Amino acid sequence: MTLLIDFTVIATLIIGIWQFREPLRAKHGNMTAALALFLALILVLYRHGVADIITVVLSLLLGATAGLALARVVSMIQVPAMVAFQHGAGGIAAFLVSLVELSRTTHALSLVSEISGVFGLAIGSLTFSGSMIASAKLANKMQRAPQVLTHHHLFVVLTIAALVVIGAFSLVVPVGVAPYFFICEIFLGIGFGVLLAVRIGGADMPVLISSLNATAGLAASLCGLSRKPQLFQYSRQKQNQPLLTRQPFSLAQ
Amino acid sequence: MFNLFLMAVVFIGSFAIGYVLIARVPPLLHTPLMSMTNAISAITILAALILFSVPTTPMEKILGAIAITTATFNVVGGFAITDRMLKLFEGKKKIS
Repeated sequence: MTLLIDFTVIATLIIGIWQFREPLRAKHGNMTAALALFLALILVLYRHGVADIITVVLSLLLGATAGLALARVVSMIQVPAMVAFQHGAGGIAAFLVSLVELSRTTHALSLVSEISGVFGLAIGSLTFSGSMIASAKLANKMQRAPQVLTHHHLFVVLTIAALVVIGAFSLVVPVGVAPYFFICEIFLGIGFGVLLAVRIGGADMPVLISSLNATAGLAASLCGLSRKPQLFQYSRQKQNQPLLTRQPFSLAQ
Repeated sequence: MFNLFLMAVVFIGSFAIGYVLIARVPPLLHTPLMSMTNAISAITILAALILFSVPTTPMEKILGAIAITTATFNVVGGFAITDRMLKLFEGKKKIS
């Protein structure tokens, strides 16, 4: 029965994306996907319960109001920058969830959960910084031309190496020290996102946003993996974007 | 072990489903699709909610609250902005 409900929600989401094949039905598809996410949210609240209802409800209301208000206020020209900005917000959520989950001492995580949690930290934070840079470039608040630092490539390689090393160490160090490694991982991820985004020009931004979209989905699914298998099923959209990135298209048509 | 296997199957299977679903979306709709998947990627909201399913320390509460707020911002804003984009399409269709 539980599984049946799960599959119903997943099917709703699939139908939503399915409807994107025809321009006129896409609007319904959007709403269907929103409904699927809403159902998933209700389901999670029902199944897991909430220990601190006030904080949860307040945060939900705050986020929803801000999201809706900003989405309605921005002009069409600003939409691409706004999408990137929302994306960055999603990245923040991803690495914070991983951080709390990893540094929690109330229950032990399995090795798989820990590894995916560390990946969640790195990918979430690079999604955050990369999207924010993309948003700033699209909104003309940053130089739109690609900026290449001296030894840019070297920095990129060093950051990746540091991400891997710190990430690996965070799994083996004592529990008391581990949170510092996690925070270090987050900052490295943010640095990597910046390095990645600054060298991409304003016109190529949609491609960057698409691929960051993919990384955000990956971060979300890893959050699910580090948590519970049931939850994991919902984060299925991650794979969408790589396909789109192959075809540059203009956001600001 | 079974759980791990199940998760791996879902992980790989979702790649295939995503590919099949996205492959036939016309280029015209790529931008709204990107915006919509942006909203879906904030599914992290579920993980953020689950953080609160057990009693939390003050620090966890703050971080968790930020996570829920940002994720909700992404979900609601993402769907709202996609809706606006698609309304634009409708207008264009009627004119032509």
